[in-house]
Amino acid sequence: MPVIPIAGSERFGQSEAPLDPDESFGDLALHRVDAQAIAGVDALTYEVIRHRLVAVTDDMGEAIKRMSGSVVVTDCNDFGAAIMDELGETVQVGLYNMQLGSSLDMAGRWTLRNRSVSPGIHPGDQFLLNDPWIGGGLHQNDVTVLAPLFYQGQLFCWTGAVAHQVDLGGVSPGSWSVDGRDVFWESVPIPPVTIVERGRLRADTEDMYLRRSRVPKLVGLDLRAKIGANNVAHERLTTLIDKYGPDTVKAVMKRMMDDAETRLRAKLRMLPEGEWSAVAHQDGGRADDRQVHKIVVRMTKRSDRLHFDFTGTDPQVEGIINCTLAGLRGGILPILLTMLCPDIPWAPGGIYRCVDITSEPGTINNCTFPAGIGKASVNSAWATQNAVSETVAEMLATHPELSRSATSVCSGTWDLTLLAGVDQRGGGFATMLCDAMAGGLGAKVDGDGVDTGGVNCIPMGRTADVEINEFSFPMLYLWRREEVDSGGPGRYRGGVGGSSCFIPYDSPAQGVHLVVSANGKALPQASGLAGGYPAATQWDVLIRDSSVRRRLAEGVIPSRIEDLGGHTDTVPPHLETDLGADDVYFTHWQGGGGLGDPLLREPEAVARDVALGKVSPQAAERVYGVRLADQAGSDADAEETERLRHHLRQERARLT
Amino acid sequence: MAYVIGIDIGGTFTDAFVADQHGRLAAAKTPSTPPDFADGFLNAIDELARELDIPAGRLLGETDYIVHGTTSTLNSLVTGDVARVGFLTTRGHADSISIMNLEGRYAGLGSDAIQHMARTAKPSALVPRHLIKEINERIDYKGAVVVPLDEDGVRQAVRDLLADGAEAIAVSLLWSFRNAAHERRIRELIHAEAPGLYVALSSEVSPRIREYSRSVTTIMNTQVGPRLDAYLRPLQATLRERGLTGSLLVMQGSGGCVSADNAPAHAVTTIGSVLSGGVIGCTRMAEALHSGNVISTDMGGTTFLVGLVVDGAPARTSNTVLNQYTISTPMVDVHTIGAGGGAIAWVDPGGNLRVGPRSAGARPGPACYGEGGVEPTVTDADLVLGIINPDNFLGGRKKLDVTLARKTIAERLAKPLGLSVDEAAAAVYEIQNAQTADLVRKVVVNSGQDPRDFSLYAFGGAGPMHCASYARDLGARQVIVPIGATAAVFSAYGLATSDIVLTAERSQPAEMPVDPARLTEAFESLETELATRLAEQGLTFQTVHYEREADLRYTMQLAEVSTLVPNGSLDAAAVAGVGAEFQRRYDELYGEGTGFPDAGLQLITCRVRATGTLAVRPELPDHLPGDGTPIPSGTRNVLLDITVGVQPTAIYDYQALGAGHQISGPAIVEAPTTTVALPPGTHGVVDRLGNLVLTFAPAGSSGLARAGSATSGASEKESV
Amino acid sequence: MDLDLNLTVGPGGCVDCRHCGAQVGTSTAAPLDKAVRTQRPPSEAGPGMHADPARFTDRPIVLRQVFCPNCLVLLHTEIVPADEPCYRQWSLR
Repeated sequence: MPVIPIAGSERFGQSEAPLDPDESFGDLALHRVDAQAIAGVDALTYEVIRHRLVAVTDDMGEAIKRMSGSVVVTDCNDFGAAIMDELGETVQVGLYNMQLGSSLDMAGRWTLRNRSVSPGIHPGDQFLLNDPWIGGGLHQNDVTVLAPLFYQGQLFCWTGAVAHQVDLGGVSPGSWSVDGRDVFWESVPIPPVTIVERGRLRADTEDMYLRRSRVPKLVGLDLRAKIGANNVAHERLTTLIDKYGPDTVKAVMKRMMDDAETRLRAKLRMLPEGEWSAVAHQDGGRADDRQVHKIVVRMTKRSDRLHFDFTGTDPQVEGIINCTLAGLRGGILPILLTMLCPDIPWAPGGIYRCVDITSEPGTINNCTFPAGIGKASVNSAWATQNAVSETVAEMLATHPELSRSATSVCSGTWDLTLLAGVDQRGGGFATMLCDAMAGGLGAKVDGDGVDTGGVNCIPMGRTADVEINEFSFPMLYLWRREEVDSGGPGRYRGGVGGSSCFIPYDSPAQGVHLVVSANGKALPQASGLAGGYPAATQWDVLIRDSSVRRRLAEGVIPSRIEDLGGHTDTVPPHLETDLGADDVYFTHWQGGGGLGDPLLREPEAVARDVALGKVSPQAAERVYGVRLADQAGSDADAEETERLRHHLRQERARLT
Repeated sequence: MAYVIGIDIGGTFTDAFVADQHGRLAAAKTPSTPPDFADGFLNAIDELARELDIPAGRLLGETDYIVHGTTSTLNSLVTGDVARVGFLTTRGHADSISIMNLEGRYAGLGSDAIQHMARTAKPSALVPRHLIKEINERIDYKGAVVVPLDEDGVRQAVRDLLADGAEAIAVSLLWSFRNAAHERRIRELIHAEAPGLYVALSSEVSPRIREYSRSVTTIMNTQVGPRLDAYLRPLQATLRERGLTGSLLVMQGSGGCVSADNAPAHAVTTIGSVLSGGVIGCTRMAEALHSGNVISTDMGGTTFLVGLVVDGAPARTSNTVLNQYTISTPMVDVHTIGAGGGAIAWVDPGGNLRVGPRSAGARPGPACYGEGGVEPTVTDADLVLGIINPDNFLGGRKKLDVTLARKTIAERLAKPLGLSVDEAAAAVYEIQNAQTADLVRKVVVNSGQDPRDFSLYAFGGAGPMHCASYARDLGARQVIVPIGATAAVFSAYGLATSDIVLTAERSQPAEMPVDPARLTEAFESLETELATRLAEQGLTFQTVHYEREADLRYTMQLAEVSTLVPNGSLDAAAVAGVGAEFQRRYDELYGEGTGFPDAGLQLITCRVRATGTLAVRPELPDHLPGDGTPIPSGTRNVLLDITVGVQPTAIYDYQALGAGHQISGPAIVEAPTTTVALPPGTHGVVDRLGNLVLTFAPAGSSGLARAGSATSGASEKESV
Repeated sequence: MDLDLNLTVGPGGCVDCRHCGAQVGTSTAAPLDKAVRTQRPPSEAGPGMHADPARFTDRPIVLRQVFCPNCLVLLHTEIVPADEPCYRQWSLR
């Protein structure tokens, strides 16, 4: 059944334009400052308050991490924290999941416009939402708690905390149903509702929210973590305002955004005028879909502005991979921050002022209700990020100094492995394996990408130790390792990704339930730059009825899929199944793209890569044109390499 | 006569402190002598003997023990001058130390560095790939053998490693802390191939769950053990030749020491050897002054260190980060929060004034050193403001050039910001202090405490110049500047007053409530292990006591919290009590109701700390009482409060101050090794031990708050 | 001005190869119009291309590459559906 538009749903979609500074919102009094006050802040006061505001977002992040009961939050840093001004413009985002700091402004604006009269916005109120058409998170699992801060009766500013929740209902555990066709297969979005009313948690709203989850207590704990983070921030901000006065603190907030804007504009003026286009592909919009879906972007740089035009992107699909405008912005902001603003304050409110976006509603990365968005964050938002990454990096490549902040595409997607069932202690469990956080980073203009270095949108990700996973869940690893040839070949190699291979272990139920979802199997997703090759394709393999238990008993730990016996299945992009007692699951996540012609890579560097297991002897020969003095690597045969490279240069250009 | 000596070797100076049982003290500060730090050690002994006016041989002959804080271990790791180590691990998991849980790309970096993602990288490999061998063997989470040890494979791997030049071998297998049989058998097999080879087992060095940091800890221990041995053995021999009959002890990161003979086998515990002396000094001073809770701030020329003493005991951590690697060894929790006096002030491309995180380091150092530094630093600002006397820096050992400081501040800060040189310097001073307050607050709050319940101790060359400002901003009760007998060598004082502290731990992850008998057995076996090690120290202890703790967590939550466990045989009620204590401590740390008890509790790691109190504990002598009102040695123009501007300020010579003397800010107290700034609104009194104790006039009169109003810019300029 | 590791803006606004100096494009508005283009099966990209794309999609997938017409240094690589145009383009004003 095709997706049918829902009359009345337009109210929840919105543009990304800031509010008119003079707009009024019921009886709500907003604290505002004028340009003169902003200009009047002295250098000392500015820096002291700015530093303290950054410290406040750190405090919020700490508060969330300590209270959360979910490894997705505590280990993967899949959460965001931010301070917004009175109109919802983001003053400062924390160093967490930058996707989740990218659209809190949209959520703030919508709440101002739609909640100031009924139920009203009061001191001590906090609003909960998980509606990606409105903003905040990218898919329904990202639940936002927005808190207006009042000072002397005026709405002074907002703080927002958003984190990925393990399960909020829907057809499948984890709320990722691989068969989903529209949003009604998923957790139904909640627009902003009052969760804390004048300082008191509303029991009715909380019940309405938690009732939908398979793990309500855990989600309830994370709800308190976010409320707690807002409370910590409000306490610190109020102390700050008491000390310096509301006008001064607000003036600093505005100046932080102005400063980011001014500096980004200055940087853009250093770069040439031009257009850069890119494309990102996703194979399979849900289980059994054999289509390849594309996101196209044309970035135009004129003077001190960037324009991202997504015209030509495929229409939204009947599946789970679409994202809303919030997801599209979540694909842009992390790249702007890490590549263009590493030395500029992370004040999205100012940074967005340098950016225009053109995107047609109803497309895969700007979908309309009720398109399925269950995997938006790691599908179309992530793919948008890949395409944007290419255009921004190519633009930066033209500048000798600014190019140092650019990389090829990092870890082309998120390799979702969700396990659920009965653990070794007989309790129920559901968890997302975070091993794939150790993706490879893209190559740089002057060096290789970081091996198993992370993902682009989360600067500080983590994976749990094998021992922690084996203690917590009914599984036993045969290996967790870096994978040969997974980094995109190039003059500078992309960072390698890795793989994990495990068996169900010690569960009273024998096996475990498995949800797998990762694109990039038909064609790679982490593209290279300047001729560099893309990173390896995503590769997941399920081995049924293996001989692994016999092999272990014989004293051997298999290291290759070929040694596992049984029946080997290459897993499609989306699959939900059970893993039986004799089954083995192998998951190989992506590396980063390469940069430059691999035939120009130093032969010694290739030989060293072979010795370290980062590049296979076959790839050394066929892709890098390096003949090794021996199969173990470490030395290249200079003369033979020269000859081989000459030959490959002709052959690959079809001139032989 | 029985002396105790503390020798603290830093990168630049070697500090020494000696005391006898009758309150006689002496201190010495001599240059360190890299690369052979032992020379500086011996020079410092000679210097102490001179101060006491006795021959060095007699001093050594009458010394009960010397406690040594050494950078040897740390230097080896930082410079990479380590033993060539081979590494054996479980098949399939050799890459764990290169994947580094991916946190190795950013661990220990500041947010400025992390934001520049393309420029972050992992550190160089801990062990070259060809020196890592995977072994067929596997133990599961319960300690059961899944795959038996492939002994032939081990023999072959060992032979290959030896042929490849391995000088020592580290062994870290999955789940070895649950079942150490495979690791122990591997050691036997190694010693059959290479008798006497230095071998470290993860089940002994760091028997704690989480293979990444356990392996890193074991490898680092193996890398530095042979080097530490090569440093201590000849040093000890020389000391014996020169007459030492007592013991040479080495300070550990845990804040307690260990005998030099015993140290190399547990070398990784001596990382942090030089960091913990200051915190122990604060702990001892706090005991003497009944301070209870102390924030220890050590601001030197190149670093700013913060530690905590809570209820009289130093705050500890079970992990630390070195070279972006995570090490799991219990240590006193010392945070590096900044670059000290060398922090560079700069104007960013947005025209904003920034301080740090870059540092001018020891070389070239601040511009005023005249050693080629061209960027303005906090020290340059302090000099321009008149806080530092250019002729009295480091007791006059280093002459500072005010002209160079003014020049760089004028060019690089004042001009682009449109400020006068004084204004720019004052802004640097204020920003440095406010940021310090932010960072110290974070350390205190993250440990579940409130800064208002603490006294703040400030030492290090630069700390006392800034402490009044940042302590007031934090809301600390009072500031204590220890400038009595211990002034220049506060860390060395800490060393001389330390105890033997040994720690043993083992992960035994299990659901609560755990079996009381098994838990008792676990602690008793750790205590037996410690009793043996205490006996190996070859010392007589006044008292020995054991302190048990267990790391617990809520099943779904990340944070493990160390929880006190009663001594003796445990019953079900005691286990329940441990659970309750954990929940209380969790609430205290993270806030009421933040725990998730519905998920259940897990006990992860058991740990015992044995403290052997040494026979001699130096007492600090009373400071001479002062008569009447102290008389300033002079007056100079100093800017201590940006809202007041430059004003004639009384300068006091510390050496003329007696106990009970009172001073009101604005004032400067000059001691041989540091300078104490008392901004307006600060009250100082010299206590009975000669410390300067600062308190503040009630809130509301803070200079910074008034400077902060957006409209006061114009009047400020007039007043400066 | 250098455009990346391989290309530079030559005299008269044309785009030249940094390795051999040959002209690759007549202007920065058409920077690669003189380059050599090839299309090959994706497996030619090396062992990192794990499975046959036909397992997952019915659309043909190809490896496209662009080279300097003279020294044949590799300027661009992408693996995309064969029925799509090359979306990865750039031009300077």
